[in-house]
Amino acid sequence: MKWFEVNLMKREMKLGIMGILLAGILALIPCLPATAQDSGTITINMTGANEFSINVTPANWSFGTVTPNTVNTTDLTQFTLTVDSTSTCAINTYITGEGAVWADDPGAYNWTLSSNEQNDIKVYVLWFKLDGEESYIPITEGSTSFYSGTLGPGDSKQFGLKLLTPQPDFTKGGTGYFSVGSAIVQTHVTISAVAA
Amino acid sequence: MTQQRQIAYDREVSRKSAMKQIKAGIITILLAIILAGIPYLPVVAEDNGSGQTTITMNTESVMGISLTQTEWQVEGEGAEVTLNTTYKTDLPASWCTITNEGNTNVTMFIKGDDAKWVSDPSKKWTLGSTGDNGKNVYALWYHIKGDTADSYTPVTKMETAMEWTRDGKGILNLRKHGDTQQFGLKLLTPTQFIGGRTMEANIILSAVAA
Repeated sequence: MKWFEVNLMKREMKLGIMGILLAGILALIPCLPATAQDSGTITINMTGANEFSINVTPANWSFGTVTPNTVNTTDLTQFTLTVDSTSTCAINTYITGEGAVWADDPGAYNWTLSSNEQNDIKVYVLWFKLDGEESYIPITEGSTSFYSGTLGPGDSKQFGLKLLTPQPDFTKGGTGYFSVGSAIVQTHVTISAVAA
Repeated sequence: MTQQRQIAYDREVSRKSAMKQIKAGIITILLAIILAGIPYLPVVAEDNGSGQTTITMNTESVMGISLTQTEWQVEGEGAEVTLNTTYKTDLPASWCTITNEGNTNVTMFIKGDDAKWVSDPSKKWTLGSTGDNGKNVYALWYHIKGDTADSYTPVTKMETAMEWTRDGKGILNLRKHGDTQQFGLKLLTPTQFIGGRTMEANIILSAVAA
């Protein structure tokens, strides 16, 4: 073996050993205080996890009897989103809607939630408006920001909904109707949160 | 020449060795970062939360049905019917279509009546109540499309919900606007009657909110 080959092998070994030592040192950094030997001080480090929960009330709401192609609104204080006071972080909030279905037989009759604020036959539109805000914001099946700022533990926001029903499925005697009568059509509005 | 080859060989060995060192260094640094990050993993974990409200709407209802047939001209050979003979509509299961023209979930009811001589309604064939015929007594049945083949249900003078004979199918409902159902009729003439009279009977189909 040549002298320079021996030197190269030594260099490789040194680098390998240094690398392993570096890895060990970095891995042990969080544990160093526990291995202190001479002093009587123990330093404890903890970082609390981000935990939160939110609640929307009321859990159920009925617009009552609706007719085709009409706008129905709730009070702007009808619904309340509350961040649980035991939450440990600020949150960002998002709102989503979904198609509406005939409660008796969801597969037999349903409405699609509009994505462009336009109703149609079997297409309805839904908006929300925060109490104190200027305008309604459309709710779609995609995620839409609910409140532009962050909400902290114990915070709450009141809001209302606006519904534009689909255009009539058929007309009888000059009046438009949906294909199912004396029926309950049901949908859900979901507000979700992520840590800010 | 030999010395030049030796120099080239030494350079190649040196280059490969340097590459090995770089690779080993990168792997070691990655390992160090991974190991150093392990204690912090729980800290960056996040929870999600959501709240939901269920929105319901009630719809207005309107009732209405339509029939594609309003008349059945029962005819045998020579445009007349004969004693104790069975006649079926030309389409046994799909002669007439009932359509829900409203939007109410309805149950279909059927009711027959005595057949009356058009010239003197007091002269009649009584509609039997059991599906049996007799002297001046005729019988009438219906068959709903999709029911057991060749199964018929008697039509009587009592208003009765139309029903499949097939197990599990139950009463005939038209649940929403545009729902349809087809049926056919069968008639058995009396065992005895006076000929030459044109007899007329009405069948009433009605929709009742289910």
